[in-house]
Amino acid sequence: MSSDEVYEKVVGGLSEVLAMEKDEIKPDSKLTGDLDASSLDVVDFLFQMKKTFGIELTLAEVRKELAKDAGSEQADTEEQWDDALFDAVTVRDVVGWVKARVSP
Amino acid sequence: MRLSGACGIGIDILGLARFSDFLVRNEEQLTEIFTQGELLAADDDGRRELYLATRWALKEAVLKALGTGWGRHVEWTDVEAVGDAFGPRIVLHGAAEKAAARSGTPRAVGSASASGGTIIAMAVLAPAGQPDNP
Repeated sequence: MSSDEVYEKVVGGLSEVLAMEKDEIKPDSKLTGDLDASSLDVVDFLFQMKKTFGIELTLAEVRKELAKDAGSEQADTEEQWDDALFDAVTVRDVVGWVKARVSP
Repeated sequence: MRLSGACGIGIDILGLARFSDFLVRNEEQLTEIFTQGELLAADDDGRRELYLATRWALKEAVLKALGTGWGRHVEWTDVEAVGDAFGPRIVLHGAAEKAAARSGTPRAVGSASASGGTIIAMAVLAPAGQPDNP
């Protein structure tokens, strides 16, 4: 599956969950920061991705990816972790993570 | 209820219409969010949608009080709200239970209310020895 196809499906999923028009969602849109996704929206979206792509992109894995991207152990600690990292997640980030699981 | 020495609070607000959409889309995934006890109690309650929505809001409130967030270690099912829809008893499991114990506030109490399609929930983490919800 190409990156464009993954992008279209990811945006389609976000559009449905957030009740937004697809053209309001950009590659650089931050899920929580720009699109105002709540935790319920994020869970809903991850479930849609599971159905759409047949992959398990759990929030646990998202957090692991964030820790890896940040090059920090801090985000992967059992106690507090940096919410700012999650706030910075963009549509492009999600597309990359999905793409890596769909076409490893 | 007054709780001396309480050191963790969390609050959540949720639109029932938004939760209804979630429920319709994700019926088969609910066991990842709710415990079997919560799902069975919701079926018995007669107001399943409202019951589960208050559970969600309570879980969110407890996780905020814990300060751990959800995902990497703490699962939604680690926080269980049993009993009455709006005067529940909170039971912590797994990573949530451990995090609460480490913070010296192993007991969680919660309360929820609904009006005009909006649900609000609040949770307080308290030291051991505090009374349960009335």
